[in-house]
Amino acid sequence: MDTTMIKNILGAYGPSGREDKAAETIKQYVAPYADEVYRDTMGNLIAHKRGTSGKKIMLSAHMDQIGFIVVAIDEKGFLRVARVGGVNPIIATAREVVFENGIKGVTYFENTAKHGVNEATFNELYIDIGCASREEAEKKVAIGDMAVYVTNYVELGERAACGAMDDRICCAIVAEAMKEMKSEHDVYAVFTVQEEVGCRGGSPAAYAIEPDLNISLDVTGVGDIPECSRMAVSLGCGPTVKVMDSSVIVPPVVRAFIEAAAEEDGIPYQREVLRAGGTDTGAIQRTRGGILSGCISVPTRYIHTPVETVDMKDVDNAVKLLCACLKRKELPRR
Amino acid sequence: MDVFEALSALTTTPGVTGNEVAVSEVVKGYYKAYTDDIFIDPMGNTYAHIGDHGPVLLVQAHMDEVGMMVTDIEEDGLLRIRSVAGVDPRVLPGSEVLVHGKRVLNAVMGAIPPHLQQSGDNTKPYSIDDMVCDTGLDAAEVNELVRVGDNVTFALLPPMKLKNNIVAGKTFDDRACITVMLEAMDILKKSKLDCQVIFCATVQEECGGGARASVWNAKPDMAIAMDVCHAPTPGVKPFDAIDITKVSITCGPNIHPKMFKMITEAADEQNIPWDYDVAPAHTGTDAWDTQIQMGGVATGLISLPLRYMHTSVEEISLTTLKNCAKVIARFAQNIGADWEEKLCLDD
Repeated sequence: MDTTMIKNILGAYGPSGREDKAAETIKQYVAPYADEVYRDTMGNLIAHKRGTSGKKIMLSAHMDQIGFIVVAIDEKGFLRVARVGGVNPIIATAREVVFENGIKGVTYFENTAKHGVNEATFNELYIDIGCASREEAEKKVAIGDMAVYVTNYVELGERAACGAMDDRICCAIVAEAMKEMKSEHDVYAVFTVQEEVGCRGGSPAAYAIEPDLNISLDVTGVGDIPECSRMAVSLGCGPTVKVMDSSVIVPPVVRAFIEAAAEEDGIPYQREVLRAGGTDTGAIQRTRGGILSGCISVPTRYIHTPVETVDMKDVDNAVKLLCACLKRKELPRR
Repeated sequence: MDVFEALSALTTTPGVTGNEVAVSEVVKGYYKAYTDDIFIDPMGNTYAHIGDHGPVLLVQAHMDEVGMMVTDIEEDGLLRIRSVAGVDPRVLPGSEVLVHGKRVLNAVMGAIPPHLQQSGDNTKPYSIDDMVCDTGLDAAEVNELVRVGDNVTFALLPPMKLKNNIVAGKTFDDRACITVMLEAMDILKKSKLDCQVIFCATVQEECGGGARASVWNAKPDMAIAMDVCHAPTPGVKPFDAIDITKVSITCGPNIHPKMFKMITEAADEQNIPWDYDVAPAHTGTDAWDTQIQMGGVATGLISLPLRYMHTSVEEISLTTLKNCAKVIARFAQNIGADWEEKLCLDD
C-alpha cells in the first residue's frame, strides 16, 4: 500500500463530531474508484461502487479519533478540557496537541504540589497554548473547539506507531480495497463518524443503505506484550476475525464467511475475542430488523495512546482479506 | 403439551448468547405443531405467527443462555475462558462443562487447590482469568478440535424433578418462558382469535440485543415480554422477590398501565395467583428496548419466579409456568374490536 496515502489519512485532523478534514482527505483517495461519493446528515462519508448482483455489502471504518474539547478558558489563558472518547488522563499529560485551525498546545495537570502525574484526573488536565491571558487565548481558540494528539508517524521496521491508527489505518485499508477489489455486489464503503463517543455514526448509515452484509474494520487489542491481560492475538500473525467484543457477538455464519475467504486465498488470520471495547459492528447489527454484521480487525498495541502500533504485514493482509470477501458470489444468510 | 418434556428438550440444547442456532431449531420444531408461518430474522430471532386478522400482539421470551467462550489455549492444552453475558465466576470451579469445538468435548472447570494458595487468597473467590477449562486432551489434540471463540456451556443435564411440582436445571432463564410461549400456543390452538399473535424467541437478551429487531419485524400494536424474576431465598429482601407459586406482573414506567391492567384481568378471571412486581426503572428484560422502538409500543411484562439465577440448578414451579401460559392465552383471547379504546390512556 502507498505509504504517502497512509500518512495522509493518519495525519488528517478529525476528532468525533469534527470529521470534515478527515473526510476530505479520504474522499480524494476513494472517489476515483466509486460511482458516487456523498456525506449523510451525520457526516458519514459514503463511497458507493455499483454491482450487478442486486446484493449490497457495507464496509465500515470510523474516521473519528479521540481528543479533547475546550470547556473553559481561565484568566491566565489556560484551556480547561473534557475528553472526547476514551482518553486516559495520565497518558494525556505532557503531550503535544493541535486544533483544527493548526494552533498547537501542550498538556499538563494542576495540583502538582499535592500529587504526582500517576494520580492526575481529567478535571486537573489543561492545555497551554502559550498565551498569557484569556483575551489572548480567545483570539486563537474558542469554547467547544477540539484538539487531538499531534500526529507523529514512527516507522519501526515493518511496524509503525501513530496516535491515529485507531481507526484511520482501517480507513486506509478500506480505501485500498476500493481500488483493488473485484465484486459483483454493490459495495458501500462507509467512513463513519462518532464511533469513539458511543458507536453513533454506523447505525444511521446502515439504516439508509440497508445492506445484506456489513463488515466493519477496526483495531483490536493484543496479548503479546509483557504482563498484559490474556488474549490470543499477536502482531504480525494476520488480521483478526472478530468473534466477540463488548458491543457484539458476531453471528457464526458471518465469521465462517470471512474465514472461508481467508482460507481459500491462503491469507493468515487470527480469531479475536476482545474483552473490553466496542465497535460499530454491534450498532450496525441492531439496525432495522437486524443486519448480518461482522468485523475484521488489525492487531494494535497501545490503543488510545499517541503510539498505537501495528504491523504493516497485518495491514496488507487485511486489504487482501477484505478483497477476498468482496469477490465471493454467495453472501452469508440466516 | 407435556411441559416437562418441552423444558427438557429446550434446556439440553446449547444456545449461548450470540450463537442460538441449535436452540432456534428446537423452538422451530415445536412451533411447527401450531403454525406454518415461521420466520427467522438476520439476528436469529425466531418467530411464529398465529391468527389472520386484528391487531398484532408480540410475545417475547429470550432463548439465549449465559455461557462461556474460549479465549486462549495454553501450551499444555488447558483452555482459558471468558464469560459471555454474565456467568457468575463464583459458581464455575468444580463445574462439569461442555466445550463446543469441532466435536462436543466433556470438560471440567478447575483452579489452583486451596492447599497451594498464598495465605489469605484461599478465602477469596477465584477470578475467571485464573481458572482453566480442562478437557483431558493433550495440546496437539486440543488444537485440532478447539479454537479461540468456541463456546463452553454448563453440562447439558436434563432438569431434575423435586417435590411440589418444583423442577431444577440449567437455562430456565429463559427457556422456561419459551416453554410458556409453547404452552400458550397449545391453549390457543382451538381458539378463534380477533387478534394476531407473533411469538418470538429472541436472541442476545443477556447482552441487550434481539428485542429491537423483533419489534421492527413484527410491527406489533402491543407486546408482552416474558422473563424470569427472583423467588425468595434466605437473604433476599422481600420486595426483591415474588413467591415461586405466583405469576409476577410488572408495573412501572417500562410498562403501559393499560397493558398491566389487562394482564391482571386475564389472571383474575381464571383465579390465578399473581403478585405485583414494581419496577421503578429498567426492568432488565426485552420489555425495556421494546417499549421505545419505532413509534413506541404498549408493553407489558410477565415473569416466572426462579431461585438461584444464572446457575445450573435454577428452580421454578411447573404449576406457575402453566399459569403464566394461561394468562398469556387469556390476554390474547380477550382482545376484541375495542382494543384501541382499552389501551387508550386519555380517559
